[in-house]
Amino acid sequence: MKKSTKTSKNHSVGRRHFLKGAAAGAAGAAMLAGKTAGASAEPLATRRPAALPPTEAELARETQAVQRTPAVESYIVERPASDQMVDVFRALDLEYCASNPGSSFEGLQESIVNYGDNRMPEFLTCLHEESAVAMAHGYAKIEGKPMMALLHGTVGLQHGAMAIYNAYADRVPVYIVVGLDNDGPVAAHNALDMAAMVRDFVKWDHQPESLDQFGQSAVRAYTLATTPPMAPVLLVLDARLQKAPLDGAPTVPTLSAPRFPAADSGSVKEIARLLVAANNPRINAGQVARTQEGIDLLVELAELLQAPVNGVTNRLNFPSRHPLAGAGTGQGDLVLNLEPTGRGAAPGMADGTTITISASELLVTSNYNVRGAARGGDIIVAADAQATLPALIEEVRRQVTDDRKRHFEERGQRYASTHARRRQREVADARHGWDATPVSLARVAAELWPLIKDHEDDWSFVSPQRFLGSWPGKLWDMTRPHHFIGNHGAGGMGYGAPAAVGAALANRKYGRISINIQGDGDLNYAPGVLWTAAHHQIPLLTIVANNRAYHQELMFMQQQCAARNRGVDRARIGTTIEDPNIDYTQMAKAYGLYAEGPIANPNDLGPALRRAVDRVKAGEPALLDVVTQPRG
Amino acid sequence: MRMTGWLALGLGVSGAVLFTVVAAGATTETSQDAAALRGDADRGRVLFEAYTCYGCHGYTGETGFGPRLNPPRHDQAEFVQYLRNPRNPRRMPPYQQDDASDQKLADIFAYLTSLPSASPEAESIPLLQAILTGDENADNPPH
Repeated sequence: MKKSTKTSKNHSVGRRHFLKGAAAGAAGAAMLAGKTAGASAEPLATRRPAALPPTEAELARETQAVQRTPAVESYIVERPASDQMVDVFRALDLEYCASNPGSSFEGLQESIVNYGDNRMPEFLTCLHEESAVAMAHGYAKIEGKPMMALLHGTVGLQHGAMAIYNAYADRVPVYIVVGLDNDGPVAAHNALDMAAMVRDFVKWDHQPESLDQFGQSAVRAYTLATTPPMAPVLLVLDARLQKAPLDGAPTVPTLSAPRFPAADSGSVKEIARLLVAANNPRINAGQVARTQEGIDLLVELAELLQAPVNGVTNRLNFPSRHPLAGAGTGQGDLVLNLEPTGRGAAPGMADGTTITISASELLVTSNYNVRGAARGGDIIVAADAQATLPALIEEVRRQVTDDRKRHFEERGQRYASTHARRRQREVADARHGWDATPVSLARVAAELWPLIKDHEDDWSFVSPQRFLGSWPGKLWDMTRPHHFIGNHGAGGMGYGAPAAVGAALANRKYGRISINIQGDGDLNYAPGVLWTAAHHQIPLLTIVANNRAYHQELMFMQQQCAARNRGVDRARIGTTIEDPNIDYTQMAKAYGLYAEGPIANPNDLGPALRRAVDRVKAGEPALLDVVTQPRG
Repeated sequence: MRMTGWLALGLGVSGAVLFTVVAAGATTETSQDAAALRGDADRGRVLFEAYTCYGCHGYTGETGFGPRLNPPRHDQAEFVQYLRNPRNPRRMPPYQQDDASDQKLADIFAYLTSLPSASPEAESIPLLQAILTGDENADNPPH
């Protein structure tokens, strides 16, 4: 077991106190010997090993027995304002601060590690700002609350911008703090309006001018980030404010729990009426369930109506093996979109009534249209879907008649049969290429499942599955929110690895085993996050689905070449990651991980997975490089 | 060296005897040569990768978004016809004579025909049967 990277002053003797104690011990020993300390004529430098008690000069210096010069007196700030900032962050329950170091927040960083004893928040060393933000993105998807990402002024924020955009599009709260040092040595790091470059895709930003204002802004930022529609928020903290002496004892502002906006009662009644009257309704769930309660509520509504639910889209909203999971059968006459994330109509919908309940309607910016064009709808309600479900269930229950109940039961049986047939077909389809080299993505998911499904503290699939043929969703029994946490948000590559590490960090305290089936192209954006996982002992199994290409782009280029009839054989130029092949095993080992691969023979996969899973269960990150078929 | 499209097309048409074939529900014309050419499976394997067929059909023609190609569902003439005029060119790119000659397509067809199946029946894969029945056992995973 590696030693912990955390140091706790609560369990150690501070250097200053240690020196006082050592001096007293040395003096006592000298008295017993009939001498005074330091009375020997022997030169000190030749006589004393380093571990012996300090000299008087050292003692005086360390115990501040000497008077400071004015220059030193003005240099030392023993109680800086950034200490108060740490108190506020602690009061906000910000467990971690993911960061790549930067001089514009050195004051705050010093307070976190010394004054705050590097706990709550704990400083997580990241090798890229994009990794810091994406880790916070993944963490929030598991934990349901924000992590702090602390970024260097200007250039650090620019590095982190894509990851902020992903979180914004994914409606995930990230608590971003950016340092600002306009007195610093690099003029190019200055800014008059630091937040301007990301203002289009954060929910709120502020640059407080005083410590009191900081407290108010810090709490407001947290409240806004965690109130649906959730999104990143940003505080700009001037280095001068961080380093100023703390004057008095500012109070830590009180945080009131965010309230979630539910639909009005009139809309709920109307929606319930339409749902009860529909003959073949669909429920299309994008990212409804923030918690287990959200999944349970959706199950209750679906069973009440016997309506099919498209529920494994951009979160696990609905149990994957529930008989009502899927698109139902026949032509739909009503679709209820709950926090939809994709474009287009729900499966099986040609026309009919469309109802949308989405908090995203409350956060629309004119520049980045992250949720697509307004979804045509007969009713569009700007409200949080999970918060609306209890009232909607109640209203449906009130309106449904015995006749309708009988009709619901009949159609429910049809949907259940459809679901069973579809599931049988999907599992059977996993046989295609089962023995092929390279390994099929279905086989990766199938081999992994029995190794994680009975883990005593549960499991968590922490990566997108769109490029994996959605095999985990087809083969695994997903029932809880952490069983699938969805996609990138804005589709920005480089999300996968750091978001998985952040999610695994959140899972660690619950003992869950975290699984990341990781695209090779995505991993190469900022692979240094593997080192962060090793350094902070974050248990995570990363399986590189190594198709040696930006495969989506390869297929697009193939289409374009064909459309112009100029030679499809050049589609590989600029889209493949070959010649030389990247050795992900060596990469992972260099970052300090257990790693195996490349594995191209399917018969080698099962044993390698078992060894890697054992490592992760023991608390460390592990990586397997599996050369795979391009798509599932 | 690449020929420009019009030149290649001209050469291809002038040397071809046209006949009609029914493939994938469409009635169109293709070259009789395409059915008669003998393909080379080794060359076909290289072309299968060069033309990125594996991108949608997998390296053994059994995985991916595209239809299964192993075993081939059509004869050689139908195969060539479909590649020239796929039903939905936005999903299946058309491969034209001046880029992919009939001989090259015959080579790819020979390669697909030569491939052994890597897809056993689902009933013979204990892991999949266990997933279907919910009887997966972590201590002794079926293989």
